[in-house]
Formats: sequence, structure tokens, C-alpha cells
Amino acid sequence: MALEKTTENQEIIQFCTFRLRSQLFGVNILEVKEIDRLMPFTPVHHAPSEVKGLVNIRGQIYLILDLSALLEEEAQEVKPENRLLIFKESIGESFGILVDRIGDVIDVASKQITTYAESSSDKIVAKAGSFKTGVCQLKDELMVVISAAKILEFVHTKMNGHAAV
Amino acid sequence: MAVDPEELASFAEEVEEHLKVLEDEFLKIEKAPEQAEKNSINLLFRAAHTIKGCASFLDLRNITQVTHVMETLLDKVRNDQIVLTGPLVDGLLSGLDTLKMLTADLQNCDDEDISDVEAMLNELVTSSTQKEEKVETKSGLPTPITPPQAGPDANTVVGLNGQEIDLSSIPVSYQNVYFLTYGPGDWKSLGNTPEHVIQNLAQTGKVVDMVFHQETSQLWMVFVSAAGPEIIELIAQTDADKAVLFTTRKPRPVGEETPEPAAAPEKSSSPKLEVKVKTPSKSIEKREPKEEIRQKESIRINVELLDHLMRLAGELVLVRNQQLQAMGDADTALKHTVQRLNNVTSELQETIMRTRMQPVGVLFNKYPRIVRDLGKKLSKQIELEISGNEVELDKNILEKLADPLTHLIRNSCDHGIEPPHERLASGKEPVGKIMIHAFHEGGQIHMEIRDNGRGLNHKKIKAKALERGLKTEAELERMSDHEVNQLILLPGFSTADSVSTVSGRGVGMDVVKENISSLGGVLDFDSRFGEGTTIRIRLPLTLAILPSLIVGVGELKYAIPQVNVEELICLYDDQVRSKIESAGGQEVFRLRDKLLPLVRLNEVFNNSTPFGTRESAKICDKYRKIQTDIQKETEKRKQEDPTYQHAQSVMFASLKVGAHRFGLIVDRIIGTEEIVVKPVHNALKGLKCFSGATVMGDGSVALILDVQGIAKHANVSFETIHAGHQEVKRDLHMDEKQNLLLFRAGKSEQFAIPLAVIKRVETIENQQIERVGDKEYYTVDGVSTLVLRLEHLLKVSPTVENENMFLLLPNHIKRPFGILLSEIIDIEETIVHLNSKSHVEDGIVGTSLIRKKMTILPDIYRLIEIAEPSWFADKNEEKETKRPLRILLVEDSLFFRQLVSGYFEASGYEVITAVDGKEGFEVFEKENVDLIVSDIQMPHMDGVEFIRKVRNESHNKRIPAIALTSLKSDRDKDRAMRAGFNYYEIKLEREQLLQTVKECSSHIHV
Repeated sequence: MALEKTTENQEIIQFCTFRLRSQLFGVNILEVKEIDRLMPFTPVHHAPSEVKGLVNIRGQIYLILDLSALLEEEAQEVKPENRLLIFKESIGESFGILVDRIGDVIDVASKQITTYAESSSDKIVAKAGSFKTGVCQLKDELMVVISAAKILEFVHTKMNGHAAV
Repeated sequence: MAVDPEELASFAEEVEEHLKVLEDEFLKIEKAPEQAEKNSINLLFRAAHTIKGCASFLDLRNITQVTHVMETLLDKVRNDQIVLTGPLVDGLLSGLDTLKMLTADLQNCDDEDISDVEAMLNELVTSSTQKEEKVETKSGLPTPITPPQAGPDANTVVGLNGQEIDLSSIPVSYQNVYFLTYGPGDWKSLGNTPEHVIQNLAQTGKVVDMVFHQETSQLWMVFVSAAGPEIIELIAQTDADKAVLFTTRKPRPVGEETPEPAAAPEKSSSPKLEVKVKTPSKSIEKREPKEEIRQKESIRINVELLDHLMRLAGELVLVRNQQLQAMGDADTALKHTVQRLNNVTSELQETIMRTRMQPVGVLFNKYPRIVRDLGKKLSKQIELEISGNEVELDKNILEKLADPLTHLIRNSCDHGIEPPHERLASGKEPVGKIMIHAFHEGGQIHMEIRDNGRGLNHKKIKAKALERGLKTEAELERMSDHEVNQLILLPGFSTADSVSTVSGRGVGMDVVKENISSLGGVLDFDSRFGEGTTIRIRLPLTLAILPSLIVGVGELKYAIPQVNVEELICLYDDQVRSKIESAGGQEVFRLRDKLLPLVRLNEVFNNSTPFGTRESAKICDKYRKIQTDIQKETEKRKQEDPTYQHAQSVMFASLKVGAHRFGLIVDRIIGTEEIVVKPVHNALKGLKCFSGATVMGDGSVALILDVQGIAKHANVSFETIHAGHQEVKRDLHMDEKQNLLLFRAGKSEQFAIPLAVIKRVETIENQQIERVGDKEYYTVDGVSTLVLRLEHLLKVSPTVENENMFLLLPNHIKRPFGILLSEIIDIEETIVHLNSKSHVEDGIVGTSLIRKKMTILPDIYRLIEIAEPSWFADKNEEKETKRPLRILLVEDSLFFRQLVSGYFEASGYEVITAVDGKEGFEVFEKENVDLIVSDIQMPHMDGVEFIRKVRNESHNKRIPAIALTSLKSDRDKDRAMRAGFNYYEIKLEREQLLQTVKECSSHIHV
């Protein structure tokens, strides 16, 4: 996933975008397996607030993380327009995130993306989550780029005191 | 090297199989080399030969060379040119190891330097060759014959004596010319005679030349036939290399050798899914007796495919469950279909599970080699016995079991079995034995590793635990043998004096236990010092499908593996209040005659941090309060409506974890179900309460409870229960429940005396009381016993005169006396709340409300003092001392504190009290005290620890100390004295205690 300002020529990356509150986020579409509507969770006791719960999708159990909690925003009640963004197995074992609203799939040229270190501080960007890897300037707004793999790593470290083996 | 990596991979797989065969055979042979069966040697030779063939095909030089030398050696052995001896086997095994190493990294294997191994093997070859020359030519090829060769033309062959043989008279269809060899081993194992073989052969071809060597029973033949090599092998009842097709009668260029039809690997185009059907020649092998895992008709399949199949089967089970649920009361025709679906699904799932099952032998196979090598390395003689090879386990479990089991075996070799001289010295046989035994039982797989070695050395273990700071000495003293055994499971424990490379790496038994637990298994062990150790492992048959109990808490459902569930209990209405008791800050239930600690699942979920004693106590109180409130409410309601009953129910499941049990209180018990276990997500592995998740029939996800994790989280103290009622009594001590004898003397008052004080109560006849002067006596056991009437000593109503009365004989008294009772009411076990202020009188410990009546607790010893001061005359001299002696009394029981304080104060001492060792130490440091009198059994810090602390850390290390305890054994006394007490007194031997105090005080004031 090329998030750095590269000197390569016009590499187009497709992002699957979604919103949390009003901020727009994007994740490389190659990381996304599927997007599902909201379905009943089974909460997991003793797990931190980032873990929303477990869901059953076609017989397979997925771990759903709460994006609000990950970004240290206040939790809101679930609404019908919430979606589950499930990531591919190659990124990490059966997990996904709960987002407020899903957005479009957009094409972005790689040079429009700046890595986190280089971008200017912003309210949301400043809340350091190691899984925010950069920002991308779109026509009318800023999209925060997220790395799915890093999300899982973050949760793993938090729960087990070390990164996934 | 431009070889296709996939080909290399399949070569590697195959070689590994052959290597395994080689290793097994070598080890077997090694035990008795001279008796090595021909077939074994043949097997070895063929394996080596095959590997060589493939390797040379793939141009893997090193492997080819090593196998070539090995093959040469083996060839000589099978031709009886050399005998397989120990050093030879060693050499071959080294060759084997080298091959393993090379095979592990085929891409770079030719870069390895194997010159030393090669040299060693070559050395073996040459030295054995020399031997061969010295040996009489009893055996072997050289003298009798020369191997046949193709002749100058198509119809001529050179025979066994170098002669030319003309084949033109033989039918042209008999194209193939074979050189057949038979050695003495063949006759033995085939049960055949040369004549028989020749007869067989004659049916498919013609024998053109033959030499039979009488002395060595060797037979060589040149045989012409139309049949191909495989068939000839069958008929000739020999193997590929002994039935060599060395030429055909087609015209062919001279000098070219026909390739030997050795078993070449069939390479298919898709290496992923190799189909390898064993050739018919293998059917001969089937007749050969083999102990190890037999390779039946088999197919090699990619494990991923099997996993996928398993997943699909799992999903099918889920769909079936959903269908069953949705069925309800559908019509019968549909029900039949669903029923069939149910049956087929169950069977399908079971069968697929079995595909992943592998015999345990696959794992156990490695151990003979490991044990042998370790034995050599450590200079010990160790024999390994394995049974239960065919028991099958899920592949996943097997893989994860490999490491822990290996560790245990190494431990046995390293720490368990003693060197031969030590064994002889203790009267054992010099050869130590390790037995591995696997079997099915109770729906689980059991494995036992038993050795007859030294067993666990408790002294060493305790010392190590102390050294590592894992336990305190006080804790160690209190441990039972079983508990000491368990110490080795603590992390950071290893009694290896130096971390050896064999074991004791610090990997430790705790990791082994952890690994086994993560498989859903249990590790237990038993050891007798000097006799050996037995380790037992229990494992579930498979991880995948679990019969379980579904329970509900709140809105959610949870699954408990049925293997953990023992019973379900339901309490109704008032039973909820009365049957749930508390002990040591934990709710308990008396199940038959055992105490079951209770855990409330909802509370476990509400608290994400594991409970400490405080939380448990809080929960205990919370629910007790709820019950008390309910009771109050009920009583109020009952006044209006006598039939009112507060309906409530509590359900719990009695769960077992290893050898311990506890009850888990839930809201609802829903039913049983066979669930498909999905492992808990990697990120959630740290949550100890859950061992997995499953999808229920209605599609919702349910978490599977880890029973042990819950027990740990809720801080269920099994030791409390394990020690049984003893511990409960101890808590009773803390809660001050005493056993009291309730009685009457006069008609108004109720009296109570602790049972501990009473020796006996005699039934007596009033008439038999003798009067002497103003005293009364009664003869008990031939002893004249003074009879005391309470009304003479206390302000109580006169004793009622009945025909039959009772005489209470106390313990620990100087001279015989008894107290006259008119009536025995009962024995009451109750908490004594001493009210020593309301009725203050000399001779009374205090009063208490028992059975709703104010009860007087007389102080027997004080009473006799009052009654017969002359008996105690010597005591009263000590009253005049400059300053009253200050005694620190450390005692957790209020009752005894008051009692003993009373004694001391009556004797003119000053008493300061503390409730446990901790407080005692604090008080001691603050106050000026002359003497310590301390109980042993106390919470927070017991007497032994307390005195130790005083002796080591306080400002007055040499203060005299008396232990005052109910522990009577010598062991306890030893312990206390060693810890620092100067005297040891048994509770309620008042006289003795006071005497000792007097002694101490005289020392002090000198």
C-alpha cells in the first residue's frame, strides 16, 4: 500500500471510504473483503471497549471492533445506517470494524497521499492512533487513511501486552 | 540448480518417509543386531537405494553420495558379508542424521560440507571390507559365481560360471532375462524351499542356469520369461533388487546396462495432489510382521483441503441445527426428511473429523530415537516401552502435543532415571524404564508417561521454591505432598542445577501445562520418591465439536463443555436463603457431604479484573443482604397472609475442573447442544474466561466458557474445600462458632460450657452422692470426685433435685471434680457473642444470647478456685511484684482472648491483646511488653510467622514467648519451637499456662 509520497508516476489507488461522525476515512480497497449491514453482536465480557463483539456471517465468526472506541471518540448507539467493514484474511484473521456510514469508492492518485508524519495537525489526526497512516486531500475535504493491519495490531497489543505472534 | 522447487518439495516429503523407515529399523536392529531379519535389512537397503536413485535424478550430489555409501554398507550386510554391529549402526545413524539435515534444506544441500561424515562412512566400508577378506568365504558372491551378463548377441547370455548360454531354443516371447538371488534369510521368512521356488518360476518361464551353494543356502538363477519385473517379483517371491532384469533378448548395444527396475517415484504433474497408489509388490510386505504404523491404502492430500472440508462440515452442522430449530411442529413428512438430514449430517461430520485423526504412534515414533540418544549422552541405560500407538487424535492436537510430550520424555530421561550405578545402589535394575501408554477412556484420550526412576525429591523442590522466592517457608510447611508436587508447575521453576541443553532450559513444566491446557487437556502427576514418577495427560478427542450445556445470563447465551458439567441443581423459595451459606468470604453450598463453592456468572462478567478476597466477600454480603431483605419482607407479608411465600429460584451447575468442583450460578439453563467450536479470536486469547465461540441454531454467536478460567477469575479457593471440613472449622473459629453444651442446674438459668472444656458428662444417681462434711462427693471410675453445685458459687437458683442427674467432668484439671447438672438441653453450635459487661461476676466468662435465652457461661477453672482455694494455695504468692507483668496476648478468637485475658488479669498481670500476627507485631513494637503469648492459627499472619518476625526484626528479639494453641502434634510443636517460641502450651490447660507464665515472669524479674 503506497502511502508515502513516492516519486513513482501516477499510481492510482482505490479507497473504500466511510465516515465516523463527520470525518471521512478511507482504507485501501484491496484490504476489504466485504461490507455488511448491521447485525446482532455478542458482546465479549472483559474485553476492552474497542471490542464491539462477535458476529456470525455465513457460519463464520468475526471479531468486530468499534471504530469510535479506537479513535477515542464517544460511543454512539447503533443505527441502521451503520455498516460492518470486514477485512481480508490476509490482513488479519476474521475481523472487521463498525463504522457510522459507508461512503463511495474513490480513485486517488498516490501522490495525493501524505504520510501522517508530514501532514499538518488536525483535530482528529492529532489523536494518535498508530493505525492512521496518512491523510489525503480530496476535492472538498480531507480523508484520513487507515491501515487495517495496524488496527488489529493495536488491539492485540492492548489486550495481550504484545503484538500478534 | 535448475530443478523445479515443487519437485524438490515432493522429493523431500518422500525422502522423509524413507528416512523414518530407516530410523525405525535401525533402532530395532540395534537392540539385537545378530538377529536382524533379512527383511529388515532388505527394507533398509531398498530405502537407501530409492533415495539414492531419486537424488541422483535430481542431481543432489551430497545426498547421493551419502546414500550411496550407506547403501553399499547395507548391501554387504544383506549379503552376509559383514555383520551389523553397534558401531556400524551408529555410523549408519549418523549418516541418517546427515541426510535429515541435507533434506531439510534441499536448495542448498550441496553447499554443505559432509566430508567428515563421508569419510567416516567410507572408513566403515573399508574396515568391513577388510574383515570380509579375512573371513572364510562362507558367504557372499565372490567364489561360487559371477554375475550373469548380456552376451555378445541377443540370444546369448553369460551365465553364472562365466559360461555362454544359448537362448535360441527358448520361445521368443520370453524376452526378459533375470538374475535372481536368494539368500538364507529368504528361506526362513518365506517358508519356502528352493525346489518350490523353481517350480513356481517354471510356470512362467525357463530357468537357464542355476547355482546352489549348500553351506550358505544361497541360490542364484538366470531366468528367462515373458513376464515383466513386477510379476516376476511376485512369483519369485522376492524383491525388485533380487530379481534383476539385466538384459532382454532384443538386440541392444553392448555394454549398456539396463536400468534396475527399482521403485522409482511416480511424479505426477500436479504436485499438490499427488496420488500415489502402492504397487503390488508392497503386498508382499504386508505379510511381513511389522509393529509400527502400517501404511494402508492411502492417498496423500493437502491439509488445506481437509481443513476446508472440515469447515464445510461445520457449516452443514450449523444449518442442520437451524433447520432442527425451525422444525418445531412441522408436519411428519417434513420431519422425516429433516431427521434423515440430521443423521447423515452427524455421520458426515464424524467421518470428516476422522480424516484429520492420526494415530498417536506418529508422535510416539520419535521417542525411541530421542531416548536412545539421551541415554548415550547421559551414560544411562534407558528402555522405552510404548503402547497404544493406534489411538487416534486430531492432527491439530497431535501437532501441539509434540513439544510438551517431548519435554516430558526428556525430563524423565534427564531428571527421572538415575545412572546405572545409582540404580544398583538402591537395589534397582540398572536399566531404567520409561513407559508411554495411550488409551481411550470416558470420551477422552489418556496418556501416561511412567518412569521407575528417582521420583520427585520434595526436599529439593521445597529448597528451590524457597530460593526462587516462589513460596515462603510458612507456606511450604503447610503443604501436603500433593501440593509440593505441584510446585514444579510454577513458572520460573527448574531444579536443574545448571541449565542443561537436554532440559531444564527454563522452558519448564509450567509451559507444558499451559500447552496442554490450551488444547483443552489436563496435566496431572504422581510421584514417589525413590520409586518413580507418573505423569497423566487427558485430552479431548477433538477440538472441533463439543457436546455442551447451554445456559443463559441476562439476554445472552453461553456454552459450557459437557465434559465439565457434573450436575444441575435448582433451589427454590426459602432454600435459596437457607442452603446457600458462606465460608471464608465465599458463598458455598453443601452438596451431599461436600462443600461446593459458588460462583455467580453475572458477577464474573461484571468485573473485568479477577476477584480478590474482598470482591468475593462483597458479593457474598450483597446476596446475603438480598436474602435477608426478602426474608424480612416475607415475614411482614405473612402477617397479613399466612400462606404468602416469596417465590424465587436459583439454578446452578456443578462444574468440575480437574479434581475440584464448584457451582456456577446462572439465570437460565437452556439445554444441551452439540456445538461447533470456533477458536477464540487471536486478539482475544488473553481472556481467560472464554475458550472459544460458536454459532447457535438461531444464528447468534455464543461464547464458550472456560471453566478453569472462570474459577480462577472468581478466585475460587479450592484449597479451602479440599482440606474439607477442617478448613471450614477454621473459618468457624474465625467466625467464632463454638460447640457448646447447654444445660440447666437450677430451674431458672440456662448455662453453656464449650465442649472443648468437657472431658465427659456422667449420668449419676442423686442418691449416690455422698456427703462428707459440707462437701459432696461421687465416685467416678473408682475415683472420688468433688461435686460442685453452681448455686454455692454463683448467684443462681438452686439445683433441681432429680433422681437422675449429670456430673460434668472437665478437662485439664488438677484434682477430680465435677459440676452438678439437672438437665442437659442440647449441644449448640453457634457464634458466641460474649457479653461480658452485663453480668459481671467472678466465676463467669460472660453471658450470651443462645436460643433466644440469656445463657450464663461459667468459668469452670475459676469456679473450682473459688470452691477450693486450698488446691491453689501456692499460686497466690506471686501477687507482689514491683510492676505487673505485661503480657501481649495474640489470639484471633474473641472467646479465647477474653477467657485467657481473664485468667491473666485474675492472676494480676496486665494484658494487651491483638487479633492476629500482623497486629501483634505492630502492637509489640509500640508497647512495652514483657511476655508474648500467642496463638498459632490466625489469619493474615500466623503465630509461627509472627514469632519469626519478632525474633528477626523487632526491637526486643529475645522476649520470652509462649505458644498457646490447640495443635497437639509433635510436628506442630517442633515447628513452633524452631520458629522461636520458648514454650508450647495447649489451649485451656489453664494451670499449666499460668505456671509457665509464672516461670517466665520470674526469669524476667531476676
